[in-house]
Amino acid sequence: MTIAIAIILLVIATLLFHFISPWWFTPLASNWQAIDDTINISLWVVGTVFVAVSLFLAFVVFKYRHNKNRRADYQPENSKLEGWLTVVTTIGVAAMLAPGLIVWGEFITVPENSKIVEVVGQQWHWSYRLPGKDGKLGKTAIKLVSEDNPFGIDVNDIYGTDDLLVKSNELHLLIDQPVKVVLRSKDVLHNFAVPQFRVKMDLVPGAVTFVWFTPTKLGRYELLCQELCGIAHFTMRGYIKVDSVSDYQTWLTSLPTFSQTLTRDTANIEQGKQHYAGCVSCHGIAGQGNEAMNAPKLAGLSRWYLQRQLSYFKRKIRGQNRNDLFGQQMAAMSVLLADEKAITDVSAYLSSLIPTNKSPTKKSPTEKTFIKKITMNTGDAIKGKSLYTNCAYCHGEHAQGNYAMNAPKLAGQHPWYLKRQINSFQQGIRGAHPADLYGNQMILMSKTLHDEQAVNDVVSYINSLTNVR
Amino acid sequence: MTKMENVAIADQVDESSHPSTFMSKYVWSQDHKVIAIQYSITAILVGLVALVLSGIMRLQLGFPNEFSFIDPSSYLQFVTMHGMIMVIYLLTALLLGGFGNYLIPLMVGARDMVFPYLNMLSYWTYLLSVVVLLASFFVSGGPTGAGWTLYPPQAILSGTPGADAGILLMLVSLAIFIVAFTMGGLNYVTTILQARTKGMTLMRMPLTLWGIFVATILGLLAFPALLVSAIMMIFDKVIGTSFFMPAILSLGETLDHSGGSPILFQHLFWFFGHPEVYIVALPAFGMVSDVISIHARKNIFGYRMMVWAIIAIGGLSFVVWAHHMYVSGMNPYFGFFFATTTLIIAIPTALKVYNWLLTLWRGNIHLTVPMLFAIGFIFTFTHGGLTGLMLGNVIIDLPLSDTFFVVAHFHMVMGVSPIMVLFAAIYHWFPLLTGRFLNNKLGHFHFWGTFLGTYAIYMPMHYLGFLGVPRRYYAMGDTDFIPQSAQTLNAGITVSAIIVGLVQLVFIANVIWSTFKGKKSGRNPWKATSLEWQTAQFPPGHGNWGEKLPQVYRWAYDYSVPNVKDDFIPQNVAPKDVEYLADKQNNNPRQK
Amino acid sequence: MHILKTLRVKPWLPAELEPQASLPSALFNKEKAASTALQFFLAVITVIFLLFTITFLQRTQSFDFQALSGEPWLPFTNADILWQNSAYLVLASISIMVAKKFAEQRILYAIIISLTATTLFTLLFINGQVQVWQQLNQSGFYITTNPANSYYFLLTGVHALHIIGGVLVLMRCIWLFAFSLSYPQLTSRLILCTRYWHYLLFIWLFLFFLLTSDADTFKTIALICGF
Repeated sequence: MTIAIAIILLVIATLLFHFISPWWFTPLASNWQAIDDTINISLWVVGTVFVAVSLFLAFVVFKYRHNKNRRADYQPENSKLEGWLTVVTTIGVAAMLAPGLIVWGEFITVPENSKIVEVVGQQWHWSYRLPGKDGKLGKTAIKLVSEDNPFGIDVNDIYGTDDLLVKSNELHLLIDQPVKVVLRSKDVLHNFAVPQFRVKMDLVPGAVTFVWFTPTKLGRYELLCQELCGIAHFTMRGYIKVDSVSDYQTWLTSLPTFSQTLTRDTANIEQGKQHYAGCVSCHGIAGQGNEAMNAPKLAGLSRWYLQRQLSYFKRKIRGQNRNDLFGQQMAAMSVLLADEKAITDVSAYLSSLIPTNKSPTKKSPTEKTFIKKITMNTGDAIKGKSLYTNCAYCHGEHAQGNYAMNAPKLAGQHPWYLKRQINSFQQGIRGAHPADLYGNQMILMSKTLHDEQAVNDVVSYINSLTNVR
Repeated sequence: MTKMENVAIADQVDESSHPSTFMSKYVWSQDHKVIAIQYSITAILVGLVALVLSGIMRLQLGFPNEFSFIDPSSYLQFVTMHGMIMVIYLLTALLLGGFGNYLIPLMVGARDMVFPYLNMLSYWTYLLSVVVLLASFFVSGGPTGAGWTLYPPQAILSGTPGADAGILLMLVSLAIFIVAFTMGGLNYVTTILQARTKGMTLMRMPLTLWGIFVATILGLLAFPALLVSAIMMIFDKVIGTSFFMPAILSLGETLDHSGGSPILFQHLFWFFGHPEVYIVALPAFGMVSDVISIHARKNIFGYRMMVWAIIAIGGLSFVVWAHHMYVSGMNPYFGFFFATTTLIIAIPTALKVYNWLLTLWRGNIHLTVPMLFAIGFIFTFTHGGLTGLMLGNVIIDLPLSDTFFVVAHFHMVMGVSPIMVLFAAIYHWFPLLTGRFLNNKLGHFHFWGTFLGTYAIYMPMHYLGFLGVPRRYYAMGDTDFIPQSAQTLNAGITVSAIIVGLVQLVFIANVIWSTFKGKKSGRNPWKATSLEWQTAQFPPGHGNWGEKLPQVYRWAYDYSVPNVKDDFIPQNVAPKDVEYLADKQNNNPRQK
Repeated sequence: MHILKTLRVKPWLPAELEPQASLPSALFNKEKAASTALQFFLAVITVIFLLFTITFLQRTQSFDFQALSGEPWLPFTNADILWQNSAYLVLASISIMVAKKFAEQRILYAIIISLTATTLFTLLFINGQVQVWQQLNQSGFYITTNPANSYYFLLTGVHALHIIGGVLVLMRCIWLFAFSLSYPQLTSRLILCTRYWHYLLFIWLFLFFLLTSDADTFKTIALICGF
């Protein structure tokens, strides 16, 4: 009795939830209207069956509930009825399957006028490659991957030299231009998924997969990895920006070709030293940093990291938040560096400096794991060590940083600076700018430190690590 | 030719002496009933661990960044262990090791399994696999966090938590489990095929047995795929071969592998993984059929169709595996084939649902607790089955794959539904084990909490999937296309999940209390026809039957036979012993 | 088809209307049960090796696969030692069959001799396999150097484990025979052991062919199987 009513109420609740609740597909931004249509057809079919079966169940349970004076029927089978039910079910199933297969046929047939874009996944970020004028992508191999050649392109392949490289999380696409996205992974399985485009496909190491679609709406869409790819899977985001023709051309011209990336990065350390003269008042002559001036240590940081951060300051990506007082100072100071070249030079110079340490004492490498208990606002380095396991995946076991993970070195940095940056990430003061490629990742990860104590602990631990290069 | 030593079962009274000491009776027991209870208790205990893990996961999803003991590593580890324990160590073990063990010999009319020693070995091996699995919580790095699918390369690379000791313990534990299952499974099929009592033809078996029988065959043929992939992955991890490992980097370092195929693992895994769904579902189908029939006092409608459907589903389940891999990057043309086979499997499954409904039709439905759970099962299974039709349709899977829609679907169809049946079965067969009923009031409370609670968890969860919320994300952060309200929904789901979890404590308490203090049930309290209720001793004692084995004269569904005095005729009642209503004695009730 | 007929029976009809439905399987017979169980166990083993084989065949077509025979410097271009091992296993299979015959005839000393021979030849086979592994390792064909090597070690290893399992069962059978088993009981056990030995011999010959094929053979197989 109650169960019959409950089932009816659940059916009504389900229908109400379906029609009234605000949660539904994001508006479509690609050509795959057909997928949405197929889903709607299927929903109608399965919805009808669900309502029919459930209401019939409720009816039967109500009507034939126990009655002392009645006896149940004895009916072993009814072949005719079962035959009809089979036929009707088969028709219903075919009605759902047929449109599905037709659309799948479209999905696996790439239109001839589509342009190729390569999406490269690795733990835990995206990068992209476009063919140059020849319209062909160069050969790649995993063993060729290095800091200078992160895509692992074969230098001897003529198709590769003019490939356009996007060393960034953001890919631009031209509106209404069908695109065949060629998918490649450097390490583990990933999945290329943009909810607004509806389609998705795994990236498989050792193989090349593809997916195609036509973006139909201007805008910036979040790209998510949807195949569990390790600890920081949930931070593996990118962006697809759908551009008008002119915006797209502008973007294209800003991209370096493969051969340019091999040659243009020659830095002049001497010039960098001269540029640095303007920075010494805060950061110190040896780049050792100064707490009184709120200036972090720079000596010995990786060149690519310094370069990226300076460029962010200069391009008003970092240091723009109202609450980021010291960042604002740095953003103002960054005008001293006239251009990209100056940034490259000064970064190279700082990177070449050997860090001088006041606080962490020198230890031999064998003592690396030795934890020196430094109390910085009662930070507990032993607790910090277990918290740091989540950080170690990218920043390294000894906080030495890792180019492949875009993770800067943390060992040897001043604790007060580390703490301030973690807090900034947590509050979205740093890293929230849409053009800050990997900042969002740190925002997500920094939130795993739940309170001030946890931040202190992890900073204490990092502070206890030997400053290894 | 050798001379076969034919031993009539009836003469074969207990070759092994009655166990007398406590140890031989309850610990090193070879009695299928004791082994079944050992299996069940172990499975339920390890299942409780998995339940707690799911609660912790839900806390993180519902209230991100509130609970400091859940970090991204431990979240993934909990996800993985929850999934693996629930699917294999709870459901498979409880349905086949527990119910299969208990019911097969009783239902076919045998004194025990044909190989009691092997049966005992099976349990202890299973226990070992559980111990090895749980040990991974205590090794450095913790259990693996690769997801229950354990996809390489990530499962054995350092970017995933527990990629050293954790994954190895997991693979070893699975291998041990498979050995345990094979020992048990050989027993189940052989007992059903070779130890049925006189008159118990295959087509007279209760559907419970058919479900367990076909599921066991599926298990025997599907688990090897998991074993093979586990062995190869262990080789890749420990020795450095390249079965599944192509040339790759790991956190920026080049590894020494080359040429292996990660997709190959996925094929092997799902060649096991999909039949596994039916290894869980088929026994549940069988048991729910019997519960429905008994409590509606009506024969199961379309018995033959039900048997054929079980066999058809079992057979088809081996040719649908790649529907788990539509977006895996396999050859896209496979999509046509696997979408078609997947939707074909829906037809026999739908027929089963129709037949359950038609069994209820014109029945005399006693709304006992087991029946409530069975009705709840029909409802949740219909819901979960229908969303499966959507996911099976290859193109619809594209936007929904790897989102919460998938999570909601498989929990509805493979989590909630079999568990509804398990509860129905426990409430139904509890008197057979203990001679007592489970408490009725607590049972009702347990049913309503579980039924409404789980629906409140999983129905809304589908809509997170429509929205595009990915599964296995520790936290969403700020994402443009996901409105803030989705967080409210997630919090609501978490609250429901916690409630459902707490309601299960009532069930545990009920089981413990009723075992000692429950209302006495008397013999055959549900007036069932099948053999397990017709034993000489009640509850059945060692050797199950008294001096003589029962003889079977009819199928298991003679309920409410017209013109017969009682509304049920047990299988072992000879035609001459059936009491007809006085005035219609001469009518043959069953004309062709 | 017997099974189809069984499945079409209408069990609710009284037994006298359906003669085949009333067939009693009243005799529970331990030997028959063991035989059924062995059939299923062999099916399990078949699936294991079948799946290994399929993954292997797929792998033979990858760029880094180097077959183990075909060229003079490859180890199994001359597979004499494997032929020798095969001969051991064939002899083991024959001798266990003979042992079964003698068990039927209850000739004790002949049983002992033939079972000793079975054990000996089986162990010689295992020993021979181990020697092949050592030779491969000495000549630089390590397990990780090439997928063909990996599969060779893997498949022969899994096969050897099955053989060792069989030997253990046979030992237990002999042990029981020494104390309690009657001749008919021994016979029925040896029937099962014989079947197991024959089957593992068959699997070995199959693996032998598979693992020592040259690249061209694999190409043909792959073509036929559609990889």
